[in-house]
Amino acid sequence: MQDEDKNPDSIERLFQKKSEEYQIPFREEDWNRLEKRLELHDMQIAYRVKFRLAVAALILIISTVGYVTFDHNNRLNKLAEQIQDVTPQEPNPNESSNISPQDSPQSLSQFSENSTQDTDQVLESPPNRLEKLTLEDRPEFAMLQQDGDFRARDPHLSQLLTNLHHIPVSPASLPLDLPSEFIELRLMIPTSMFEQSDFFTSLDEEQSSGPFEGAHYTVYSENQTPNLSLGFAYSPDFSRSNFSSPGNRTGYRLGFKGEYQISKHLFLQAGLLVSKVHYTASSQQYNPPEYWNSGSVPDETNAICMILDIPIGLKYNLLNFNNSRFFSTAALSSYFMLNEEYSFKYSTEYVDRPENIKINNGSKHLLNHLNLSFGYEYDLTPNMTIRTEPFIHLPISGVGWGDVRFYSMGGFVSLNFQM
Amino acid sequence: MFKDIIKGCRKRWRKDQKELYEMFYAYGMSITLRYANSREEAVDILNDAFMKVFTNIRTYNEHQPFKPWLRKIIVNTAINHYHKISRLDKWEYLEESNDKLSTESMALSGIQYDEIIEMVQQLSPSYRTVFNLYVIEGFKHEEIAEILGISIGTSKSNLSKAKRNLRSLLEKNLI
Repeated sequence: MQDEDKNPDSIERLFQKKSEEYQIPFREEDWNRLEKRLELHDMQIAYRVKFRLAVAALILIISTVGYVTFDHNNRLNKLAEQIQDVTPQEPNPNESSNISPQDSPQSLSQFSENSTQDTDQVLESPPNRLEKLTLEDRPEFAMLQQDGDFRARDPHLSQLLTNLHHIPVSPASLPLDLPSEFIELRLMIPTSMFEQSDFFTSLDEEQSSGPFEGAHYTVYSENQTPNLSLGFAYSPDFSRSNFSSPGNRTGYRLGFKGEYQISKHLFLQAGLLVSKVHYTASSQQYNPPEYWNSGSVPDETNAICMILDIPIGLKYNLLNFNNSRFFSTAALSSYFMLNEEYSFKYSTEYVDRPENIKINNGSKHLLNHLNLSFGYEYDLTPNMTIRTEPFIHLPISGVGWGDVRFYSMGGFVSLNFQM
Repeated sequence: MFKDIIKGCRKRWRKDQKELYEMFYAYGMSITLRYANSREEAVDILNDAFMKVFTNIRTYNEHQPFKPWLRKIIVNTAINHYHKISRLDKWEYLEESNDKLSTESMALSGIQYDEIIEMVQQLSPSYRTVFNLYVIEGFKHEEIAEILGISIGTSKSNLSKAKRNLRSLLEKNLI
């Protein structure tokens, strides 16, 4: 301080003057380093734009499907109410058994004419009496009638079907005395024509005796459904510390998912999955404990984490088709960290700092990710289905030693078995 | 002309970004070199600053001069850099010298800019940063204390020690 008081401006004047005399030649390599970062930044912006478009498209699709489903259900409910208002009339047992081919006034060509009747017409003009809700009223059945294969295979069976137009569709009237071939054929009738009504649910049965031994058919009755299923699921995992960050190595999610049906469309889901997650975090996103590295944070951290993922949530069947359906799920995941590996990058090379660290402290993060998905399920057999289910996991809080909030995306493919 | 470059930068046109970078490269380096330990580190700070410039170019008011805006960003980036490295507990820089220097004997005009920068870079980051902020940027000790998160007394002390060390280095340089 003594020197400063004595000669307060000599050093200052020198450095002020010299600082104006700079002549520093431009180096192309310095620009190249910056250009790489700019390209990365442009990619992040492009990612962000794409992601926003994808989210907008997803919202549009979900809204549309939701509206269609809502509208569809409304119309079905109205139809069900109208049907409930009608007193069911038991069909005459002699009616079906006494019908002979000669008694049938209708021919297959007449059924073909009926095939122009679409589902909307059926729904808009519901039958006043249960007897009129027959197979021939269903457009799917009419389409079945047009199937040249089965007619060619067995003209007699074809004639039997012709006679069936008088038989009401109800559990009591299922023609169990029909040949096994017809029973099999009956399975070809789209199940959706029954699922559209809350009156009937499915029960798989197998004929164990009689002339139809071995024939497998579906009888629709009330309150008898397989309501527990277990699935094996796999998905690639694309995790990011934010949506605009560049892609990293692909991880995976692998494990089991189970579900329990709690209503016609709603299922309770739970799972147990092992996940390998790769992500990159910037210095702002990576928050290791304060004591580590004197509180200094790397400019970039690459993470590989093994996680036990336990999701619990709900699945809703949005739209049913023949042997398939669209669904969406919402769940909360708990993460249990099995193993964490972090490698660090620094912008300055002169500092001696740790380059990587392995953590195995088994930290728990309960219900800290929100999972959303939208999927499609197809029935491979009556008891086995395959699903494809694109998903997104949104962080509620930070995870792991670095307390990083990361997003995950992927698409599950799963095989599910009815228990 | 310059306005066209700024417009191009706002559209993220690489050609205009390079032109702006090239235009202010020497100016930016003259600042960052004084805050860094090496040229490579100075380039890192400069590029960090230009990343901020290019990502925030929309906030720049074209009716205001560009150079002060850029300087503010560069100095702030250099200060952030100081914060990042200041937590290191191990310094291998010239901390203090008790050598006396007769300022009258300095052949001031003979010293090159590169030599000046080299001397500044030999100071510890804490001395160097206070010296730059006080002597070159014109901040007061109260402001420096707030910016760096140190006390006013520390700021004054660091400046004093920085000057003492520089005098010592100048003296050695002239012998």
